[in-house]
Amino acid sequence: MLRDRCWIKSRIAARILLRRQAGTLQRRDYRLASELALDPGVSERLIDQALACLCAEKGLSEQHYHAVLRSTVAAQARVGLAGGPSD
Amino acid sequence: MIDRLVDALPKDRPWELIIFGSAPLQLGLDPSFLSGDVDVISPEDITGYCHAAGLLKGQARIYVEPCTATAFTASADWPVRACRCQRKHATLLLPHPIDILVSKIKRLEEKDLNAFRMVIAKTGHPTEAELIAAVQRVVDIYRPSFDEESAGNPTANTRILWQELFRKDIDVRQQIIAPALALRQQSYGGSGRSLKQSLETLGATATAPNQPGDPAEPKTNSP
Repeated sequence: MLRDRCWIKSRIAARILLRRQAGTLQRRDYRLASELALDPGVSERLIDQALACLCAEKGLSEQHYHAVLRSTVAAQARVGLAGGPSD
Repeated sequence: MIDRLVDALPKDRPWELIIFGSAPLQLGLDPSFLSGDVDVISPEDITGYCHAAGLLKGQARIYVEPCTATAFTASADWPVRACRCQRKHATLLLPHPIDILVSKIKRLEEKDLNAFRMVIAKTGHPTEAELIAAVQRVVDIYRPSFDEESAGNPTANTRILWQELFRKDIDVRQQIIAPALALRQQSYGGSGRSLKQSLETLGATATAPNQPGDPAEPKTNSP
């Protein structure tokens, strides 16, 4: 079955975020994350959809999906605050 | 008039016509709510047939106005609420009064205001909440008009409408536009960039000096 390249890349991005949550990141994940972050085809919407898709495929609960989403957003918010402009 | 229009159309194929403007209100709610024209959208240009039957402006007292589909500004789900009826070889699609009313907000002449008053007097609807939901479905009417357009001011018109119908002011941006856009963003899968920025941060982590105890610290024993 042919699958859209943006969707495949977004699924990889979602896998990386899931591995981050599980604490099982590998060296190549960092390199891929860097590349995928710059890829215009990998959008916020697709990563979100891919996360939901992967959670469903893995038989994880809907709550787990929301927990991953929340923790990723919260972690990013912390980074944003830490890296924000200082007075 | 609509029967005459249907009779004017070739009988060798079925027709599907959208009747909008004031005609559906007159047909469905108040026969005295007269209008000079019957606005019709057809997939095929019916001007020639109407002309041959003497139904166009200047040919008949109440005339048929063949319109383009973009003339009816309604939400994407208006056909779900519409009334469908068969007249001979034509299927007529009459939009729900709420869709008819909302399509009038951009212009909102006195006659359009009268349409709102008439529908509310006859049915008790739309309530304020129903009208807010309805205009949120067509939130794009509040975008700036094209230069080529001589459109009215829908934001000002909405405030006038609220004063007329509910005797109060409305903050169009806060009560209509912002919630509608938030819902749309939700449907599109969120508005933020948090997930993508997380990837970016992870990517940057790989090049940054390792912090002891950093949970995102790259492992070195994997390929």
